[in-house]
Amino acid sequence: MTTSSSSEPSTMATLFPNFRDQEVQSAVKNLLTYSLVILIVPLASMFLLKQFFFEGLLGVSANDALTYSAIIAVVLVHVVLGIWLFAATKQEDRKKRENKQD
Amino acid sequence: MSTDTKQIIADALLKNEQAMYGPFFGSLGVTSAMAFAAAGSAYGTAKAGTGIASMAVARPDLVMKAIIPVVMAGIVAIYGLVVAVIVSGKVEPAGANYTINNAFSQFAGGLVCGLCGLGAGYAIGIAGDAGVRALSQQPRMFVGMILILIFAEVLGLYGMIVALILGAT
Repeated sequence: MTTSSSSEPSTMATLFPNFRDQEVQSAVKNLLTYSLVILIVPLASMFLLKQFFFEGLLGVSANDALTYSAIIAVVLVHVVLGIWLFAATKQEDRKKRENKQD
Repeated sequence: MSTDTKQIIADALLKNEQAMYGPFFGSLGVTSAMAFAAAGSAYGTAKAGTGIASMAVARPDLVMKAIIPVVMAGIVAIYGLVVAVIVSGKVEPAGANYTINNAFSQFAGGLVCGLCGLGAGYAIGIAGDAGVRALSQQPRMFVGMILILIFAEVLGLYGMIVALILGAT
């Protein structure tokens, strides 16, 4: 699967040497997705929940709303971490099974 | 004691209770929560990062598992951020509803969250470094490494809980 026919390597190829490799591609995609999710989820949930859910819908005072949304944000971060762990172990299991079938 | 003297003493007590340096301690609590937690998180990220860099040379396919210490160190910084944001919303000019009692408990809350985060970040860094190096040679080490990291990270969570209780009063 040597698709890099051009003489000069593209920037993507220098960043990831086997970028066209299926396994490398899925690993990079997974890593990128989960990294973005774990960065964005706590911050977004904290401020959006405070603004629109607790203050907007339930009418809680600003300080209490901040505390509640902070607790929910911390819980959500651990949920994402749990999903990350699950994905990491599942990936390994799948690889093992494929190796057995060969 | 005349009523005049009593009045003077009561005024002085009230003035000391609502001292103007109160917000200084509240803001110091905000700063210490964020700064110490970020310092611990930075140390954990850097220490685990060197381990990941050296193990990924041999086993680049394990990077999804090996990056977990870095993620956990990042979560410690989120604890600090959460406490800093909450406490900073409660710092106001000194007055009847912001006495030095509030200020000192916010200072204590910020300090406890920050220092617990510092300790947790150190533990995550050192255990994560050794863990990912072991992971490249024995993949079954993964569960053990995760358990160690969870126990290290829970220390930061304890600090955050105490800080929330202190800051909420």
